[in-house]
Amino acid sequence: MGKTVLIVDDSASMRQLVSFALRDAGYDVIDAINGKDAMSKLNGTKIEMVITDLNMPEMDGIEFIKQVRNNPGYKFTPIVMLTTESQESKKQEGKQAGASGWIVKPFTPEQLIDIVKKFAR
Amino acid sequence: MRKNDMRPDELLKMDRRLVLSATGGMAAVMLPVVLTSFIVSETARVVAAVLVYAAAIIMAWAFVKRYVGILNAQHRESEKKHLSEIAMLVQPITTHLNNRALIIPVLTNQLNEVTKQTESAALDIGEKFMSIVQRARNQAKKASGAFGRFAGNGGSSSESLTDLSKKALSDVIESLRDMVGVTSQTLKNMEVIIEDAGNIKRIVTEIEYIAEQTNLLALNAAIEAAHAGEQGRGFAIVADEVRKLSDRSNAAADDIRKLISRVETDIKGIYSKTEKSITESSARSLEAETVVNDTLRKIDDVIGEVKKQLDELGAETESLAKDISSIVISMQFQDITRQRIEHVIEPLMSFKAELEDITQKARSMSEKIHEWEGNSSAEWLEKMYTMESEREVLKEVLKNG
Repeated sequence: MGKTVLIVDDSASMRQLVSFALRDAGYDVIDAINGKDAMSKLNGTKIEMVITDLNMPEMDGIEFIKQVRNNPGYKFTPIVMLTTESQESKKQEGKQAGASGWIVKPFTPEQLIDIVKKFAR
Repeated sequence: MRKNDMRPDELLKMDRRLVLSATGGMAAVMLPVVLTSFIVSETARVVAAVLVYAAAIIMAWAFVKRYVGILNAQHRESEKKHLSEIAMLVQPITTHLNNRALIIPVLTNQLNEVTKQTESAALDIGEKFMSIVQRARNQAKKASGAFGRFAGNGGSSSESLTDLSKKALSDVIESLRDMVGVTSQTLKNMEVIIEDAGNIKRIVTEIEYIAEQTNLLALNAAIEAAHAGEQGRGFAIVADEVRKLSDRSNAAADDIRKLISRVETDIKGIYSKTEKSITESSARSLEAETVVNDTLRKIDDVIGEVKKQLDELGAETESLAKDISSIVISMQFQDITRQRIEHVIEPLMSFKAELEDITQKARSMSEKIHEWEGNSSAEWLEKMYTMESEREVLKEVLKNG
């Protein structure tokens, strides 16, 4: 059984393409449409890594990261922000909330897999 | 209102008022002097002058008041006109802004629809690409599986069709070799029999020699018995029996020779045929082995070639998967486009709210101008009218209108 990655993005096409690339690389994937949906899907599930968008309705990425970090079961789970925001302030905000890293869109499959390999150990 | 903005009749009226004002002023100054010049008493003249001046001042004040009232009314009329003009200018702008504000939701809806359609198309394309990769992989897997069942995976415990065929063909060749070996052994056995037959023949010759010598001995014994006369009669009978035995031995040896010769001839015939058969079998076995080995080598070559092609197919499939993965990943442009469209929609909506606010304010201002315009006209008329009957008419009109 492969390692499981949780993908949180309100864009169906983004969820689809990231899932495709990860499944192709041998990972199991769970996806969620926003932070709230992701929190309900986490709920005790064994996750090796989380990839999350920042701009989402209902619960945005920053709030989701904070809530994940407040859950003792996922205190050290790597969280990578997936965003078009390349501004330093947004990265810093995410890092302060507890994110482990970020991927700036657009990215190549290799960049995505490299960063997942790096974090999902 | 500037002079340039006034109509000619308004200008004429204003000039008349100015001339009248100036004449009135001069008359007011000169009149007490003229009137008091006829009074002899100093005191009376002063009193009269004071009274006349007082009257003049009262008249002047009334005149100035009335003139200022006229000027104020004119000023208000001018303001009213300006405001009416502004209101008239603002009205189409308000309507225009309102119309533009109405367009914005249409534009944002169009953009949202574009986003939806693009996302739907991107998802569809993504699914189709993933399906292509999946099918290509399944085909490669199926081909590899079928090949594995046919040719094996190279392991020693393989039970592939080609391995089984190879084993069967090898068994056939081995059986042919065994058969040739067994036949060769039979030939060797035949050679021993033929040799034994020769030995038997030599023994038979010895038996014939013994029989011949025994016959000669019996003949000599019969001669010696005849010389002995009556005493030798019994001996003659024995000699005769010995001769008969010798003859029978000779006849038996002859029979044996004939039989052995026949056996020898038969064996030699079989030997010859077997020898010929074994030569042919060996040649055929060798030929079959060559053919089988060639066939097996060809099968191995074909298997090697197919395996190579399957490996290439597998590599191509993986390369295809990688390329398609890149294509699917590049579909993230849709998400980037979506976010950029959202970044257009957000300010548009904000712009719409601002436009609506501006429209509302302009409308409100226009309404106030109209309201003020009505009020100020009534006020102006009321102030201008000096007679109660005029005011009554105004009130009546305002009440009904």
